[in-house]
Amino acid sequence: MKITINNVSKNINGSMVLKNVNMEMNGGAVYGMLGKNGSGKTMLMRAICGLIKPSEGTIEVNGKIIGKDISSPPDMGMILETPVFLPDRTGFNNLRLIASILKKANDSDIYESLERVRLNPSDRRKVRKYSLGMRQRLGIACAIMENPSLLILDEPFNGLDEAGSHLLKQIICEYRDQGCLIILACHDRSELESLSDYIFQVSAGSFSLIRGGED
Amino acid sequence: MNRKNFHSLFAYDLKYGFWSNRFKWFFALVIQLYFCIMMDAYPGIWDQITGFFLGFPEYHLSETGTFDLPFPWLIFHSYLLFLVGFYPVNDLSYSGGQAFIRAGNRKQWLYSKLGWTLITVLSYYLMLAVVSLTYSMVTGDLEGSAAYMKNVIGLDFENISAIHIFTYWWLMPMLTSFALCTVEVILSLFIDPVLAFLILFGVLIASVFWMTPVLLGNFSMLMRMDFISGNQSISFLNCLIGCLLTICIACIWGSIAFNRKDIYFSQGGQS
Repeated sequence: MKITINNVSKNINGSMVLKNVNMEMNGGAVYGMLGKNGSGKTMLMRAICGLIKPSEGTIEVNGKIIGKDISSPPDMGMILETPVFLPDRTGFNNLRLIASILKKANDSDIYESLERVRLNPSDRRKVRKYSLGMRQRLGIACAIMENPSLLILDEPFNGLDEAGSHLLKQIICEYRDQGCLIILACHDRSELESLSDYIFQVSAGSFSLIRGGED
Repeated sequence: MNRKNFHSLFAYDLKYGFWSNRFKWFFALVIQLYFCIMMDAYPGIWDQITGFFLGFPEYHLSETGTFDLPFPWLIFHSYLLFLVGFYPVNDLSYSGGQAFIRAGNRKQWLYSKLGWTLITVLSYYLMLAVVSLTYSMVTGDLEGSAAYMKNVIGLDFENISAIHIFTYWWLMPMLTSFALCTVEVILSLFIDPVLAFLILFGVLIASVFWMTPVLLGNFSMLMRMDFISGNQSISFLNCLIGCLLTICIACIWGSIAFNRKDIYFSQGGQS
């Protein structure tokens, strides 16, 4: 998996939320984004997912331009904004419904991903009765259930307790070691530094590399 | 477009779309049954269906100066708008966009939603057929006396051909519904879905007020049709042209605009 961001800018109602961003990202590494709320981290992630159209520049995924050759990166798992699911269905049934679209994950894959995040696959509670931490875990399970080669994680530690955070770090390291490209946004510097191979400081839509890239 | 992926996405929309509307479907059944019961004096199946699609003849201010509305017709069509108007936008919210990013491409996602809209419209009319048929069988008056048609429209039902009945009693209202629902679904992706519903509801009201082929609601009112009203512009051909044109323009414009749109999940897709 390779993502190339070429001179990407985004103007929303006169405000430059992304300013001339240039990056190259390869699989098998974690790319951390560090910055305040509203700095542009989520906006760049949305652009990579194909949800936002850059005002200028292009984003290529494995040589294909997002918004021209493909609408969104293939083989992607994401947590973008707070995970939202159907409130009147169980966690398992929510994931099963979503998995039915690509048919990449079967019931046992869904079971495994739920167990991996320490949620009970047989839990008959509806999602509306889940705590914030449980919804976050369900979001993580949704992101990993199809064994993606690109993971986009926007503030994935929100709502997680210490055990949950430790578990997520293990998952991130596992996927990185398997060759997955992971883009991680977090406002906690220490979390980011412990996980990321590269860290970008994000401020007012500008991205500058502050760690990694020495080679 | 990946055909296999589209089939899976469409199956997802059918499952999720009908599931998310299950309570609305229940009330649709209640409403249709209510109007069947209100037509108690004319319980035959064709009387029932005629009652729903009767509408009004060309509007003239009544002696008392009040603006009357054909309530069964209005409620039937506006409830269908209510049924379809919120699911596509909700899909961008309630799965947090997970279904959207798996769609493969935006056109595929949009066309799947339009396919769901078509199935919903067809199912709604099928429900009407089943409810009317069941009610008529229960009251023991399946055929009816066609008295309603004779008394209210002055039409001798037995002299109308089957093709005529299918065209004017079923096809034209269904086409009209699908055209209006398509416009509403497309609009709801760009403006508040409540506003989209109100706009199309306004089109229905305006159709009562003005007898013109430009306002598609006219094509679903039996009293306005060419063979009853004498107004040749409210014909099947004009209905077909008007509805297909509306659907094509909405789909083409919607496809282009949706492809350029920025999607924000927490706002139901609205920027």
